[in-house]
Amino acid sequence: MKENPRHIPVVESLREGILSRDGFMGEDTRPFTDIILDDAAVLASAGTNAVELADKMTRLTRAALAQAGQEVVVEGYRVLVEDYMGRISCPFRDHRAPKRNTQVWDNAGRQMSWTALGVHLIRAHGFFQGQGAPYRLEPAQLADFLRALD
Amino acid sequence: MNFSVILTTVGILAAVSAGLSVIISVADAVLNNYGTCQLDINNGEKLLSVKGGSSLLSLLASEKIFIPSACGGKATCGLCKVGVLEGGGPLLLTEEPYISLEERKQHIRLSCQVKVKTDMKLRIPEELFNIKEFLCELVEVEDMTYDIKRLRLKLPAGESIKFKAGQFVQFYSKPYGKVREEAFRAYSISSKASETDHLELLIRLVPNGIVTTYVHTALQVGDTVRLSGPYGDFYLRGDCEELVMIAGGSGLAPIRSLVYDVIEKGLPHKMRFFFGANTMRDLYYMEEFTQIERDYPQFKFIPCLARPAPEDNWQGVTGFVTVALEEQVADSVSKEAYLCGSPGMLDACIKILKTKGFTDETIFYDKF
Amino acid sequence: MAPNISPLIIFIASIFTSNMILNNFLGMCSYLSVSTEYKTATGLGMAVTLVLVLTTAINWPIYTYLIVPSNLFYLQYIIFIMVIAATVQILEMGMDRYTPDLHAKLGIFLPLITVNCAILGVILFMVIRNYSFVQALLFSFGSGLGWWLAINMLAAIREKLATTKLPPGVKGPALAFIVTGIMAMAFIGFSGIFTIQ
Repeated sequence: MKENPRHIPVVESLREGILSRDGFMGEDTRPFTDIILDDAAVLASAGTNAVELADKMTRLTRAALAQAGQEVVVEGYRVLVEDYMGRISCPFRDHRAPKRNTQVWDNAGRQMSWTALGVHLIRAHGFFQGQGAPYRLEPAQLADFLRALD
Repeated sequence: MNFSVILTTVGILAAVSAGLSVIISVADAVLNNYGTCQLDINNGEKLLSVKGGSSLLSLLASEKIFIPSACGGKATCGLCKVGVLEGGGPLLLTEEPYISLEERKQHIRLSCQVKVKTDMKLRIPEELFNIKEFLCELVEVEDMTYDIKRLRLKLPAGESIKFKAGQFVQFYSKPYGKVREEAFRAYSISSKASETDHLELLIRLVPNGIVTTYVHTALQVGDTVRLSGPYGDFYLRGDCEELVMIAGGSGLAPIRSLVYDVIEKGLPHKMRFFFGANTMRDLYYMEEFTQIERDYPQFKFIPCLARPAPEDNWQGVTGFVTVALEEQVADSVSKEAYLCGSPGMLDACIKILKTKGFTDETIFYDKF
Repeated sequence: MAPNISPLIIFIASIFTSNMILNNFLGMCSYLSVSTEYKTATGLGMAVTLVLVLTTAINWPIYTYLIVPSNLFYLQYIIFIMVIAATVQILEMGMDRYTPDLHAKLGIFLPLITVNCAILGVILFMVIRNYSFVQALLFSFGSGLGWWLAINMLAAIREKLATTKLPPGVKGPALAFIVTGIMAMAFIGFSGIFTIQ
């Protein structure tokens, strides 16, 4: 099927070595639109949606941001935000996110991590990144991981 | 079906194709030829004659005017803003996300998206005219901490860079590994402004970063590095008695340059430098700044450790740099604040400074 | 001889009763792939309408004064397509120069349209039905508007569907086909007004 011409620059920007070293697609061969649809379906059956998850992620990151570099306990999670200088552009060209990593551990010892750009991709585009991308988040796992914040 | 039919068919198709090709070539020559366009920069201050048809960014670069840009003309960074007063045409869809309403009123455009088609009137900040490109040789690399490297670069013989302490350069990486294109990022200069034949940069490894990974893994002493600069309006104003300097991580770079600038020029300003780090292993340049503190009473160095380990035997301030600010900066009377660090740290510090009476006019930091 | 139908009726019929997509199922490829966002669909619809009218206006005299007199019917497909491709090419250059605003909106769609079968389809209908120049022009304009209408309707529906819980099997193009089928059935209702073939 023909490619939506508006998506061509996005597909290009998602590749490795364009905006970030490893890119956003990993080994995933699906078009990014399919990744978004598939993940949205997973979320719907988990009874949540991308914006809700992004809100929770932002809540944890924001609470720990003032103490960047240090582990803080936020609502029962251990959160470590690491802030770097500079910004990174969103592949969809609508945002420039700070270079900021958040690592979170829950009480069960599970760990997940995300970037400020990753949260924007989820909130604004419902994009959880391709399988094998360094910051890919499994929607079902993430929803389960953040359940305590309901 | 006989031979002549085949021949006529081929003949007619050839004729039609040739006819259409001629029409397209003529159209191309007429429609895509924008001739020579005059670029009038800052009301006649500079007049350039360029061949139209390409992007403003690339045409200006070919005339040795380097507009800062981080994406190389793909409309993803939104940095290459210039004022286009006349001849720019309408704002394009690709520009919209980057141009605020306020900027639209000032006719700000992304120079990588504006195609030069007619004579244009432009407004470009004066300091961009001083920007040059350099092919430097990497002469020294030193590990300052586990994730920060110091790069010392030698400018080509006979060339020199004139910059104001605090400014930054664009650093171009070459393709390596999976990265197939050149990329570039901004880094503040950490060396003295009086030293014009060498530059030093402090580069912290960013996870999954294109250029920092290049610097930390691929770059070797002796390699050639392309730089352009100097850029930025982060430099000493000095309209005060005291400078409050705050940095974290590799944000130390421009502050180091600033401190040396004040000392070398014999300026009377008192300086207090708050350097925030997490643990002992994030601290660097400690001896150097302690030495300056001893030699110059006007300078005070206040390193703050957020999480000193008991065995570190840490004597200095414990806690975040914001805590030290809160305690040690009483007011904003005749003070200017110079900040460099991660966005989160900047936000937290600016918040505190504002409660002390600092304003946007007395707080300076780089926005990249 | 041109058929004795008022050009106005052809115009209206080509939008509703003989809709390029919903009645003839032409130009499906870009219709399906570029109908996920309403805004983008609008751009493509506009571009298709513009190119349709323009290429029909150019291909009608080529057919009438070149192909018919020289008896080149067996070459008409190739000639039509080459003319369409050249027209789109020149149109893009012209737009870039004189109407940059329009070029910014439609430019990215033009290459996609060169190979859109709705364009060739309209020209072939014009040939088969022996339309006069005015009839052909209004037919192409109406067909373009009809195509635009259809893709916009589908895009509006798909934007709603994007946030809806769906059974996994029908996501994406599959459901777009079903929706198009239902829309086509609804459009059959228009054939009560009048029909052109």
